[in-house]
Parts: sequence; C-alpha cells; structure tokens
Amino acid sequence: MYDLIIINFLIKHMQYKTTSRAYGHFTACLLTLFCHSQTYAQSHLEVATEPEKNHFSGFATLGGVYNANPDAGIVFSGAQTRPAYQGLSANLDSVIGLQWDYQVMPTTGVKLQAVARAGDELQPKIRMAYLDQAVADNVSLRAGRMRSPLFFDADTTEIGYANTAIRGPIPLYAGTSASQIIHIDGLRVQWRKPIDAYLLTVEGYWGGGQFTVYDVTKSPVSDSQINTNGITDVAVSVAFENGILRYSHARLANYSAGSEQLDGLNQGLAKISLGLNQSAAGFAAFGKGAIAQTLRDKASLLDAYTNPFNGAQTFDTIGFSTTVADLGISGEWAWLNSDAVMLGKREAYQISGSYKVGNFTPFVSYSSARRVRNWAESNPVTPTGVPLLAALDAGIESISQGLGLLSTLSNIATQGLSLGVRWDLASNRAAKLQYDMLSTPDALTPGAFKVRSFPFDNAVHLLSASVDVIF
Amino acid sequence: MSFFNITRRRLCNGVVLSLMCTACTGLQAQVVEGNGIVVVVKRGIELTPLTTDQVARIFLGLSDTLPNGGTVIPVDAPESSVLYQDFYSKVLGKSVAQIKAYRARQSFTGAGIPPRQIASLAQAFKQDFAGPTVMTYTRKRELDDQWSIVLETGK
Repeated sequence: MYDLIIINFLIKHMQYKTTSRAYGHFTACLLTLFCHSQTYAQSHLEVATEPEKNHFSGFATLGGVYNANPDAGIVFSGAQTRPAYQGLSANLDSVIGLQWDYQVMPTTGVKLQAVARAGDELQPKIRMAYLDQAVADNVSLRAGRMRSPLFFDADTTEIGYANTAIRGPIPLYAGTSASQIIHIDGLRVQWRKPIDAYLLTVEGYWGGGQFTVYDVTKSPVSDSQINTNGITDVAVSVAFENGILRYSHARLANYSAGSEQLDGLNQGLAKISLGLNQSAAGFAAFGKGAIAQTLRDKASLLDAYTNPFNGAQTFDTIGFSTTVADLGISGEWAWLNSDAVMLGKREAYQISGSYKVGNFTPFVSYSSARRVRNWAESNPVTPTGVPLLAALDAGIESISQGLGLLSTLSNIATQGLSLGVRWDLASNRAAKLQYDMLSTPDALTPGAFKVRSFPFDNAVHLLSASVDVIF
Repeated sequence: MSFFNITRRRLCNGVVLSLMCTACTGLQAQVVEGNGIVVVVKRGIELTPLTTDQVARIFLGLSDTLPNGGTVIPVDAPESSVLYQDFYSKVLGKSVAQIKAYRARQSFTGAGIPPRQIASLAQAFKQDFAGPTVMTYTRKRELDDQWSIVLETGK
C-alpha cells in the first residue's frame, strides 16, 4: 500500500515539464522520502514474511553544488540539459529512481527501473527494463535495456547511497564519449563459476542505443543524435569477499553523431572537395599531372573529415574495488581508440581511497582524462598554394580554422581532485560533503566542462552537499 | 593502628568489589549463554560444517553452491533486527551501512538480487524455493530440531 502511495505521488509530479513548479514538487517529493524512508523500510520488512514476487524499491539523492566559476558548467553526462553553472545548483546530483522487480518463476525475473534527474528536465527515463532467464546451471540470459557495461563503476554513479563520494570522478565518468552511453538495448549472456574463494563471472553483451547529447552553450540549446548500434562487449570479473576486479573490452561498430552544425561542416567540405577535384581535372587536361595529383590528395584529405566524429571505437576498461578492514580503495583505467578523426585515442583513470571511522568515512579521489592523439592534429588541412586557386584556398583556410576549433573543443583533457566525507545517518540514509578542484590544460580547452565563452577560467572549484536515501 | 584500620577497610572493600565483579561476570556469562549465532540449513541435508568465509561468500552472493554440490539460497533476518546486525558485524565483519550499500549496488545495477528477509525461523522453514537449500541464521537458544547447524559462532 505504501509502495503505491509513493509511486503514484512520484509519477504524478514527474509529469510536469520544465517549470519551477515541477522542481518544487521534485524537491518536496525527495524530502518526503528522506523523512519517511526509515518508517517505510521497516514497515516493508514487517510484511515481507512470505516469498514475494513483486518488490518495489528506489533511491534518491538531494544534492546541492556551489560552482564558483563564471564560465564553466558541470554536467553528469553529455545527455544533461541543465549544467550546474555559477552559483548554487541542484542540477548535478539530485536524482530519484524507482525500481520494480517481479519474480515470474524461480528462474525468471523482470526488472524495470526509471530515473528522473534534476539536470535532465526531470523527465523520467528508463534505465533498465529486461527479462532475466536462468537457462542452465550458472548461465543466464538477459534481454532488454540494461545499464551500460562499458565502465567498471559508472553504472552506480546515480545511486548515491551505494557510493562513498557524491558522484563518480567527472574526468572519467562524464568526459569521455563512452559516458554518453548510459544504457544499451540488447542481449546479455552471463556465466558464473565459483572457484574456491572467488566468483568468476564472464559476460557477453550485444546491442546498441540512441542518445541525445546537448550543446548547452548554444542558445537555444542544440542537440546531437548519437547512435551506437553494434556494441559488443565482453567483461570478465573476479569477485572475492572484500572486493572485485573487472576487465571489459567493448567494440562499437557504428558510433555516429548527427547535428545541424555537423551537416553544415559536411556541406562545406563537400563543396571544396568538389572544387578541388574539378580543378585537378582541369590541370590534368593541360598536362599538369603533378599539381592534379596534389589537388586530388587534398580533396581526399578533406573527404576524410566528413562526419569527423563517426567511426568504429574500441573501449577497454579495467577496474577494481577492495576493502581491507576500514580502508577502501578503488580505481579504474579506461582506454578509447577510435577511427573518427576528431576522437582518436583517449585515456582516463581514477583512483580513490577512503577510511571508515565509526559512522564517518573521509575520502579522497584523483582522476584524469587526456587525448593521446587525434588524427586532426597529425593531418592538418592546408591551402593548396596554387596561385590560380586563391578562392578555393580561402575556403580551405576557413575550413581549416573551423576544424582546428572543433579539434580544440573536442579535447577531453581534464583532471580533478576530490576530498570529502560521508556520514551514515541510518542504515538507508547518508549525508555527504565534498570539495572538488577540476581543471583543463589551458583556457581554450573545455575538457569535461560546458563552457559558454572562450577563453575561460579553466580552474573549477565545487563545494557540494547531499543526502542519499534508498527505500 | 589507624593505618591497619584503613588497610583492612580497603581490603574489605576490595574483596567486596572483587566479589561483585565476579558475580556480575557470572551473570553476564549466563546472559550471553545461547546468545551466539548459528548458521543453519534444514535438517536432513547432509552437509559438513562450513567455514566463516564460505558462509560469507554465500550471503554476499559470491557463491550459491554448497560443498555437496547442491545450490543454496541465503535468507536474512529482518534488517532492523539486532540479529541481522550481529550476524553481519560478527560473522562477516561488516556494518549494516556497508552491507546496505553493497546490496544497493547489487540491486540497482542489476548485478544481483539481495537475500529475502524473513521475520522468523519458522517462516524461513516454510520457504519453498523448489530445490535449492535454504540457509539462514539465528540465536542458538532459539534453534529447534528442524535445523542443522553448519556454522557456530560465539556462545
């Protein structure tokens, strides 16, 4: 009964769109949960005396962050429409999620999870909706929507209570293109094998997804459609009593991004390429074969910049988490290798430590993301230098400047240091306080930030407080 | 003279204090007798005693296999109970908050399903999981002959 009251209450208030009234209801809803979650949890347990087929649960975070930077906004992922800009904001961390588990049969289960984030216009989004079927001893099949398997830890960043820190390190979990892939729609096969004191798990994923990534620095906000069809992922993990080690290798056969800006770039490239090829034909007709070949090569180079974010990607991550008495250590290293000229090779990592003292857990985290190489830097587009082609050269110069700017704007290089403390208020509630210092290499590199104008102050200081609850 | 009186008085006080302490200790020993936690399965299942690590792996979802090759399903006491707190702190060495965070991570990421929570041993006995062995825990003093002990901790 209590389940239905809460869920109806939430759904009713999630239906509002971007209005202050909606945010007011959202906040009221979270506060209600924080106040009643303990009673709810206990009453829920008291009736759980029979095998239950239906199980409702949820998680919520009410968080506020103060950003001192006038230019750089902070986002949880590219899919976030409301960054936390200068001043106090609840957009970065406030979230509510509801989950329904239904055990159809002992070997068959269904899970549905919806999440609404303050930074995503409070629109409920489905994170998980799948059917899980045990098909043999230690083997299960899962079909539907699942949280992204690409990262070791990113799938828990929305569940504040499950983490020591308020949010996962931004350079790793919000800055890379893989962080745009919040879920995949497809199939998972899992094999689990206990070996002595360890549990070996091997998982294979097949699927894809479509996401909208917003450029909130434009007014009105423009969007890009990201298609990630053809994801295959193999993950191997070894779990033991005090920790887990996981390796994942993913291949995205078709990562493509589409937007009005990219369409404009493609049209400009096509026009100049056509002009170069026509000029090459003219020079060839007059026996200037060397110049003709140079122009054709230049045209091919420009063609390679068409859809500069599209291409196959491979994504490797290795992560671990362990606790030794009251000491907790976790880390993750990620490596992205893309055929796309603007993405190239990227690397990111994070290392975190915490120490539990009674109900308090101080923590520290360091994270970094960098672009190892992008093809745009190693293959610059330069004018032909042919005196008769001054008009074409002007176009190439303009395109070159645009591509150079695009290359700078797509540089993910960011590093961050976080310090904070978690306070366990009850068995289902925790309060946290956190300070973050984030920066990019220079005033023209946006990194993981949403920057409104350049050059900008590339050091960002955040002071955050949150209350997490599960119910 | 006064020195001896004081010493004798202190001695008497010391003896009385010592006797009181002994009595209290005895009383305390009586209270905790049978208060130890036992991990149990339904009687009739042939099973050698388990180690603390084996039990921990089962309750953390890292193993669902018994040494006899059978599958096992762990069943928890209510999370609000002292028994639950004692089991996880004394047997697994983890606080309720740590376990809650671990379970949240399992449940909300689709990585696993937390053990079902049952209000009493009698209700745990009624559970029919169509095959797997039910494993749970209780105070030793509350144990009846329907259950076999696979791990005993404390007194």
